[in-house]
This record gives sequence, structure tokens and C-alpha cells, in this order.
Amino acid sequence: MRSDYEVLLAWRDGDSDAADELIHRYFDPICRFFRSKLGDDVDDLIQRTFLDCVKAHERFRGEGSFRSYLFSIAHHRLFDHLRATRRAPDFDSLTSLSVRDLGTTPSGAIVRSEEYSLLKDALDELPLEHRVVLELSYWEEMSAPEIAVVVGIPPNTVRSRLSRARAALRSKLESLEADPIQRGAQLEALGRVTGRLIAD
Amino acid sequence: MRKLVPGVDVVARDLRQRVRAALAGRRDEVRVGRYTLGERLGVGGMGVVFRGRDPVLERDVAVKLIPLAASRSPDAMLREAKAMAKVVHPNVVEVFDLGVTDTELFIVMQLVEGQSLRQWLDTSPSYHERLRVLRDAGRGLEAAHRMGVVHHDFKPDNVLISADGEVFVIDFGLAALSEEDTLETAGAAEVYQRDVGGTLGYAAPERCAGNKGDALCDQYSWCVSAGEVLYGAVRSADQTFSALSPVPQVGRVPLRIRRALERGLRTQPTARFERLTPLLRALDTGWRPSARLALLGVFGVLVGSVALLSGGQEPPRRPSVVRTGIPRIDLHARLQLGGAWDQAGDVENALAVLEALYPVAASEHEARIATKAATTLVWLHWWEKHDAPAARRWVKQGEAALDAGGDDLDAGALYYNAGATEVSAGELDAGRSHLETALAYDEGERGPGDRSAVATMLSLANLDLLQGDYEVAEARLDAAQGYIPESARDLLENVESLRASLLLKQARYGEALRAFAAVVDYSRDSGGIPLAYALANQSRALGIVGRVEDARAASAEGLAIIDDTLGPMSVRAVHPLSVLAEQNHRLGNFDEARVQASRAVVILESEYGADHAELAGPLHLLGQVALEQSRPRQAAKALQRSVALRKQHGARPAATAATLMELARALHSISSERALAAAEEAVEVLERGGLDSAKARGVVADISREP
Repeated sequence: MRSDYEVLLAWRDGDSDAADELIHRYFDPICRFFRSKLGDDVDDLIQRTFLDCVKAHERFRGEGSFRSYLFSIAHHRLFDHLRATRRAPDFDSLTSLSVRDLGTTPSGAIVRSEEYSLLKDALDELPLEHRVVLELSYWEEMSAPEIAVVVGIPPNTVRSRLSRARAALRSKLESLEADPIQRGAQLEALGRVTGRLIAD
Repeated sequence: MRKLVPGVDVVARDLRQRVRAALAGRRDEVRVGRYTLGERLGVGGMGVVFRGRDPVLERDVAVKLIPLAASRSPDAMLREAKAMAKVVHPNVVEVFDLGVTDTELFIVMQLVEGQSLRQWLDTSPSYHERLRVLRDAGRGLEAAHRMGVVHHDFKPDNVLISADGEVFVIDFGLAALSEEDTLETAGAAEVYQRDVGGTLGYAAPERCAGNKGDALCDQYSWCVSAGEVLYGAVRSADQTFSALSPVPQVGRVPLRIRRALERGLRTQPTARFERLTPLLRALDTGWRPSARLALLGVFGVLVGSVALLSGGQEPPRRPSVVRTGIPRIDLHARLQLGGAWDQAGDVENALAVLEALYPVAASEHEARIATKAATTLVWLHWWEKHDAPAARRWVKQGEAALDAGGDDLDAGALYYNAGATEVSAGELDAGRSHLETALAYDEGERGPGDRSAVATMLSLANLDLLQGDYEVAEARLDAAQGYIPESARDLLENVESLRASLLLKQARYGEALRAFAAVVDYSRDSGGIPLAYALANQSRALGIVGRVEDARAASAEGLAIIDDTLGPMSVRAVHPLSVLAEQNHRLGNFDEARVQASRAVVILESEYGADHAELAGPLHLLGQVALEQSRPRQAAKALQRSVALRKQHGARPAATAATLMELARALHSISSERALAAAEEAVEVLERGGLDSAKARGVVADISREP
């Protein structure tokens, strides 16, 4: 099987099967990355992410994880889009805003099961920078160095940010939950989340 | 351990195919159930809508996808969606199919090729088109409400207008599908604010505070939308429409529409209309200006009346005085009909001529004539035929004529008659509303000192008295009197009569008696029915202060005049007869009371049949009298009929309860259980009507105590 880089180069050379292959490999994670924050009208952003990735293939040069590279482009696209459509003027202030603050309508398809509904609400209220690292770590099972590439910060900063993000999530859940049974379920879910992250 | 990774839903599949198509030039079909998805038509907060294809029925459809919300079972969501599918109406998008995939609920609907109401407004539609679209959308909403379905998010984006101009309301009830789960999880108002159940700006205040919406919320949203359609701006919370100017295509928004919208926008939901229907009626002109009528046969008769009505002469302001109010009849029409109204037979002719005249005038765009014809018809139907529904229909026709180019000069008369109709039908608030409109027009168009304006003021004063606003009544009478010249005897008589009634209500008996005596003297010059009424009122006053013999004498004289003037079977005698019967009852003249009440009943039955609303009053009285004369069974019979009629015709709760209490008293000696049932029903009626039920509960207690 060809490496991601080989497929990327084939695409650059005009091979549409290669394009299809790359999309096949990475569409789902990129799609949920955008949908969980912006909603369903994201095909344009997904497309541009993939296109950017082809155009800037030289930056990648086959080093490191292709996935992190692709996600770093998506990350950039996300904030670009938010800057263009929201009132926050600079990157830093954007990252501290939550999905709630931004007033987007994140897709309800992201979280389906009953136990995790509160988790979704809590995630929606966390600052973007926390949410991004939590999702990359838990959904995409990325390591700290990989996340570092995506977000553009050092790996140690990723770890401390993750730990702050978990704490923030825990306290959000506590403030949001409605009844003790729910709370138990959420904390259990949190336990699973933290379990996964601890094994990082 | 189950991981929290989002599933791949249909929307994701569609997104993937789009990206593949754009970047790799290939695409697979995305299917939901048996339907193939095509172009994405829109993304809303609730879900995504695609154009789709039904391969079985070979037709294009719209497919809406809603993610299965986290805390609701698919079955619950399906149930909600099925409720929406129950609504079958030309103005509601038809639902063809419903289903559930692993990840979403999908709804397959009629595909409407067209634009949203918002987009349509950019095409600068005409006033009539705007009204039509609003009305049709309202009808769709109304149909849903009848099936118990609430829209929750009505706004111009949720109304589609097809290329043929058909109007469809879409996205019903969908806000409810995601609402409950958010309210459960957070239970806080701010969660509602940020979620998609109801677009802020169109959402009713109670909804923004976090309550579950209902049909009254839809009404609010519809009114905001209507305001936007007519004024081009969404009304903000404390703004009335008088502060806004309508868009150029609209020009002037008729007062009744504006008032109707303002009512629908009240913060307090219970202050709005109970249902959309009356609100939509305010928009319903009922008159298609393009309708043409060929009236060859009638034309010969009509020529004369049309000529007279369109003649240059401005009819003199005028009413002839009658006790229940002052009629405003276009004198030309009255002249035309000759003094024909005084005899029942010619009332029919008058009706026939005018009812035929109206559509001709309408189709010839003779709006002023049409308005006057309608105004007269309101009068005839109300005063002569006691047919409030028919009168109301003609009020609407009159309003249509006004809107189509009638003169505001004529509006006062129309609304005056409309108000008088409602007042005598017992709808005091509706009557007041019309009378105030009439006054506004009269004062505006003719000036406050004008005779018509004064007449309207006096009718309002009458209403104030009826509703217990004595101070307001007095102020109004003073103001009115200031405008009345000495020569206007009829008006002055009216003022005096009202003052006398006011004094009586204020328990200033000495002054009241002097005032009534003055009115009687005054009326002796005119004689006839005005005198009869004056005597009836005087008799009542005398009875209250205990001058029994004098009261009797006045009653008797009044009765004699009625017999002389109207003859034994005239419907016009019913009201004075009832007054006299009541008066005799108070005086203890039970036999006479019974005779008069029976006469009233007989006249009403022979004229209108056994089911007429007005029978309730005399039957109540007959019951009371029978009870006084120790005939409980006959009393019960009469009272039961009265109760049935009151309920049938939607009488005011106070009246129905009063009759029920009398019935309870009558039944007490026959069957305690039935008596108790009647008394308890009285309590229920009062409480449902928001009235004080202490007295009724006392009756219940009394009956329960004695076995």
C-alpha cells in the first residue's frame, strides 16, 4: 500500500484516483473536525483543506505524520474562517472563545448517545483551544507531539493544556448537570475520557 | 469501552460525495431509505434539506434530515414527525414519508420549487398579494393548530411561495424535536436562547423565557412576520405600528388590521386572540375587486337607487332616536326606501335592494356607495332582523369597501353600526372596540362637535354605564353635552336619559327621579317608542325607591303606548316588554310580569323559532315569576330552556350562572341532586369565566346542608 505522501504526490501529478484515495482515507476525521464546531455547511472548508494540502505538499516533504499535517491545515482553515465571519480580530482571542460564544450551530450528529449529551454541551462551552486538544486526543487518538504539530505549540504545552482542558471539562460537567444519576454517568464517561488520555 | 466517536451519518456521506465530486471528479449516490439525494437545498439549525428522487413513484421530493438528538429515542421523534404529517392542508407542505436511519430521522416531503417569503418580498409584491400570502400562511398555521400541531418557529424563511404563487408553511414542529432535550439537560433560559428552537426576533416573549411554546406563540410569530411584510421592519418590543410607515406598495394599513396585529403581539399570551381565525378574518376582505356581476334582471330597479346614492348631494347627518342607540343611516338610502322600514314587509324590500346594490357598486368600484349600502345593511340586519351574524358579515363587507377606496368619512357610520350590533348582542368589548374606532374616525374626519361624533360618544357613555365605569360615563356626557346645540332635541333627550340612568346607578335617587321625570316630559312631545322607554326607565327608578303605585302607573302607560304604536306582535315590543316584565316582577306584580314575559316569548318564537338567543331573558323571568308563585316545576322548565339557550348561544358567564342559580332554587324542592348539580355548574361557569363565584358557592352550601 502506498504511503500517504506517495498518494499525495500522485494527486499533485493529476491522478484523480489518488485524490479519491486520499479523500477516502481522511475524509471522516476532517469532516467531524469542522462539523463539531461549525455545523453542516462545511463542504467548502473540507475541500479547501484537501486542496491546500496538495498545493503545499512541499511543506510536508514526507516527514512526520501526514495526518497531523492535514489537521494543521484544517486547524488553520478553521480559524481563518472564524476570523472572517466572526467579530474576533485576532487568533488569540478566538481560541479563548467557545462554540457557544461564537454562536455557531454545531452539528447534532456529532454526539448521539444519551449518556454523552451533557458531554457535548460541556464541550460546546469550553474555549476552542481546550476543545480542539480534547477532540484530537480522544477522537483522533493523537499523541502530544502530533497535536503539537496541528496546533502549532510545543508538546509540553500540549500536555499542560490537555490537563487544564480535562479540569475545565470536569468543572463544566459539574455546573451543567441536572441530576445525580446523570452526573454519575457523565463522570463515568469522563473517567473513560481521562482514562484514554492518561494512557497517552 | 464505548468510544465517543461520532458516527457517519447521511449528511457526512453527502458531504463526502460532494468533496469527491469536486476534487476527484467522481461521485456515488447517497441514499436515504429508497430515496436518492441530490442537490442540497438548505442548511438550517434543525437539519439539512436535500432535493431527492423517489424511484418508486418516480417523482422529485424534498428530504429533510434531522440528526437523532442525544436524549430522545427515535420513536419519540418519529411520533412528533408523524403528528406533523397529520396536517393536510393546501398551505402546508405535504409529508410523504418518514423514516429513521442509524443516525438520522428523515422526512420526505413535497418539493416546492419557489422561493421563501423573504426572497419573495424582494420582488416588491402588491398590497393585496401581501395580504393574500399572509392569510394563506395563516391558514396553514390554523390548520395545524386544529390538529394540535404547533409550529414553534414561524417566520418568513419558513414560508415558501411556489412559482405559481401557492403558499406553503414548512418546518412545522421541528423546533420541538430538539427543544425538549436541551431544556432537560440545562433547564436554563440561556440554553434556549442559543439553541435552535425558535428564531429570536420572531419568538414570543414567553418562549424566550424558556417556556414550551404553543399556538399563541405561533400567533405572535405570525404577527411579527405580518408586520415585516407590511411595514418592512420587524417590530421591536415596545413599538406600535403607528410609529412605523408601511412599505410603499402597501400605502395605508387599515386600522382594523393594525389593531389586530397589535393584539396578536401582546406580551401576555392570554391577551392575544384565542385562535388565529379572527386575526385572519381581519385580513380577509372578502371582496375580489375583479369580480363582475351581471344583474340584468335587477338592473332596472337598481338604476334608480344607484343614481340617487351617487347623486351629488351630501346626505344630512341625522339619526332618529331610538332607545338602544342612535341609528346612522344614510338618509339618501332611507329616503329612497321611503318610510318603508316602519313596516316589516318593506324591510325585506330594503334588504333586497341594498344587498343587490352592494355587489354592483363593488364591481363598479363605487366604493362610497358600497360602503354606505353595507352600513345600512348592518343596521337593518341588526335592528330589524336581530341577526347579529348577518350584521357582522356586512360589517366585513363594509370594511372591504373602505379598503378598496371608500372614504374615511363613511367609516364612522359603519363602525358605529357594528358597535351597536355587538353591544346589543352582548359582546360589550367588541362593541366598545368598534365604537371607539367610529369615534376616532368621526372626530378625525368630521370634527369632535359633529353630530355623528356626539352620537357615538353617547353610545360609548351608554356602554360605560353598562360596564360600570360611572366616572368615565359622566365625563363623556359632560363633554358631549358641550357640543350639542339646543335645537338637537333628540340628542339632548338622550343625554338626559343617560344622566338619569347614571344617577340611578350612583344611588342618587332623588336626582335620578327628577331626571327621569324630565326625560318623560321631554319625550311626550315625540311620543311613541322613545316615550315608552322613558316611562319604563322611570318606572324602574320609582320601583327602586319604593313608590310602588307610581311605578305601576308608569309601567302601564308605557305598555299602552307599545300596544298602540307597535301592535301586539311587533318584534320591537320585545325589549320594552321585557323591561316592563322585570319591573313588575320587582314590584311584586307577578301576574302582570308573567303576562308580559309570555308575550315576549310568544313574539320571539313566532318570529324566530324556538331557538333564538333572545328567548333566554324572558324565559329566565318567567321562571323567576313561576317560582314566586310557588310553581317550581314550571319554573324549572322555563329556566332549563333558558340555560340551554344561553349555553347554545355563548352567553356571558354571569348571565348563564345567574339562570343556573335560579334553576337550582327551583329544583331545590323537586330534587336536591339536580339542584346541587345546577348550582355546581353555576360555580364552574363563573370560575371558568374568571368571575367571583362566592355567591354561587353559597347556594351550593345551602343546598348541601338541607337534605
